[in-house]
Amino acid sequence: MQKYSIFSLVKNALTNHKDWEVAWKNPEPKKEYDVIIIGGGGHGLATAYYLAKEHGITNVAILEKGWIGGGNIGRNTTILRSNYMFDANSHFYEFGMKQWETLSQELNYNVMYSPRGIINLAHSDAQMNAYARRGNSMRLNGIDAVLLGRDELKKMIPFADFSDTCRFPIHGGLMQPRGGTARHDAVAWGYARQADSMGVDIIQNCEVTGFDITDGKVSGVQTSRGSIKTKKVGLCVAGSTTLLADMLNMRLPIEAHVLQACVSEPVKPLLDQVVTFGAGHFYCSQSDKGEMVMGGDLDGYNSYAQRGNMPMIQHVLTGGLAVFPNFSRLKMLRTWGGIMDMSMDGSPIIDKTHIDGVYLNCGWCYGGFKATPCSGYVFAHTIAKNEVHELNADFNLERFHSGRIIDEKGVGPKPWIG
Amino acid sequence: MSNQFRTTNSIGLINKNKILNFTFNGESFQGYEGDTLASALIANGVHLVGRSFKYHRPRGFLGAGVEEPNAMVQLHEGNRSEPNIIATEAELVEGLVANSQNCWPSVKFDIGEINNLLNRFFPAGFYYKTFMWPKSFWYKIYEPIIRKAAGMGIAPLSPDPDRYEHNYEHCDVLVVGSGPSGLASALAAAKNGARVSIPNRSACRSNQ
Amino acid sequence: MLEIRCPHCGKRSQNEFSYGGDGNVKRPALGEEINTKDWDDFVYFRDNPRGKHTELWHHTSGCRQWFKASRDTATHEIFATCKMNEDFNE
Repeated sequence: MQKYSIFSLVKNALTNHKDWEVAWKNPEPKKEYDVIIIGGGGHGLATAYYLAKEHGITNVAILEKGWIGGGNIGRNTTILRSNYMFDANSHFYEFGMKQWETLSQELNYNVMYSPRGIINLAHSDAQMNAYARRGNSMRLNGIDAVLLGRDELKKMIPFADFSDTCRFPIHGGLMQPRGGTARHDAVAWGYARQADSMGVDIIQNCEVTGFDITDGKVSGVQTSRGSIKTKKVGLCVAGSTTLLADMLNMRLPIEAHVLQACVSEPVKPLLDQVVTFGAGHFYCSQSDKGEMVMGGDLDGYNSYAQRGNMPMIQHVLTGGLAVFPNFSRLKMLRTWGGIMDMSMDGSPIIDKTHIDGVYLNCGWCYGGFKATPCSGYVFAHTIAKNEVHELNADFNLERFHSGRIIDEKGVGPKPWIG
Repeated sequence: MSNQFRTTNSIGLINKNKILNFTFNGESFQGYEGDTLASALIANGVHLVGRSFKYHRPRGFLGAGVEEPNAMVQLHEGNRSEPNIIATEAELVEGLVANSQNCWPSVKFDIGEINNLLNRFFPAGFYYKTFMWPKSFWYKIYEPIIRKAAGMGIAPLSPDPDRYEHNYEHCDVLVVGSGPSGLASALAAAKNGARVSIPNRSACRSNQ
Repeated sequence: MLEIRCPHCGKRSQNEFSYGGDGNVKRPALGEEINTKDWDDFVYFRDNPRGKHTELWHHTSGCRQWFKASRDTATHEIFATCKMNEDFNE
């Protein structure tokens, strides 16, 4: 694999960039693979990479019905954090944070990892207490957390509404200094390039239409580009999970919901951190191109449409202007939506299934991007060893029968409340 | 001499009886009621109004309306300042203040043009192929520089002091486009009893 | 903006309503024994179709009644709505 570096960039600049190697190939699907990963998004590509890198399993195909990176990996708001309260989540996401720190170097692809800090705003004494509790829980798990007061926040985000007339006065906030952002497309392409170079076949425009199951064991898949034999299949299709589960006669604790996000036209550097304004259902950061990247709640009804509606965007921006009134003169550049696979407790499912050789990775709700490296790592382990890794042991299907659900928000099985 | 490139015929929306004073990049100009910022600048022979996003190439006017991709300016000052306004859509008013964006120290002499001289080293996506070493340099050094070079206009830092009301229009027929066809359609619909709305994209009436 | 026909009030825009989830979920009868799998299914497991979906909506900013809707989850087209004790007229 051709190495990317300032030297290769300069060398290729001198020959007009004609000699760059193709980043990943476009092979015809073979008749059989050791492992098939369904879904060429962030998690699927990462899983294939770790199968090859950590387990030496390279006779792998990624089957993507569209183009790689066209789903939620290309539609998210790029936030990285591990500010969770429950142990299962804390350990999982913190492992991921450590992977993010060296991911660019590991993939030889600049994912633009930016640990600029993530701040959750608090608007009352009670909320400050709740954040102190969460911060302490994080620190007990070895994760960085800082409780900030009003004056400290004023220095960081001076243009936020600190006036006496604001609806939600800022009392302070909880900050994870190592939280931040990364360039979402780069993550997909970085994993794809590495996986391809290690022998993984990335097959695009290939939709899975059925599974071959005999005696409770998988023996292959049917696709729009023919049938392919295999003994192991990993499902990594996020919002489309139920569509595949239906082919396997599996019902899941999942609902598909739409989440919208938007960016403003680019402006010079304004916001240096990621800020979440929970009370106003709004969060925001600034991309390196200068766009304000903003998002909020789910639209709030089951949807596979990959687009939302105006009322929610209006609602999100109303919340945004309540905390950042100076944004009112910015112009909207683009809005979009993705399909969130909302699990019934808000936490992911990374598990074997009752079908021998079929492995499930879903239920990421709207928090899948930050989990990309860790999810790929543990899912590859689960597939390679046919047993769960310590980090995804609690993210099982069984918990919806035993009651050991992992509900950070305490909302219960009503995913549209988000 | 002012407005030396203004046409002398009287077709159009310009009211030559009403002179408006405005400044662009600190220089004073005059235009007329009915001008957009773009038409007033063109009448005064000003064409270099901006710089492209990445290579800082000199940019002038390409279109006549919302399709204009290049002539983006920073309009007004202080807490009424608005970045990324297309000059062809900005109504000229008395005392308008406009400035070029994404250039330093000026639009005529922009240090950023060095990106254009070195453009072979900055192809699309070049930042994915480098900036990986040393590890801490991306966040501490490379990213801040890239952030400063990127972005177009400057966001205001304080709230807009003006208040606005939202008005919700309800209609039976919405006619998009107020040229002869649009107006004829709207009239026909109205004669048939429909409540008709004709949104107009600019402050001026449609062209004759 | 979805336009939803409340069976009591008529066509209103979506921001007058709150969503109530899958309308085909049947709460197990009270006072009867139920096996844990059926109970877990009721609490957590869903059909989640891409296509026609029967769902509950609540007219929170209007008559505050609950009603059923049949809507396509891919196109958002609403085929029918009806009161809770009725069936859709297809």
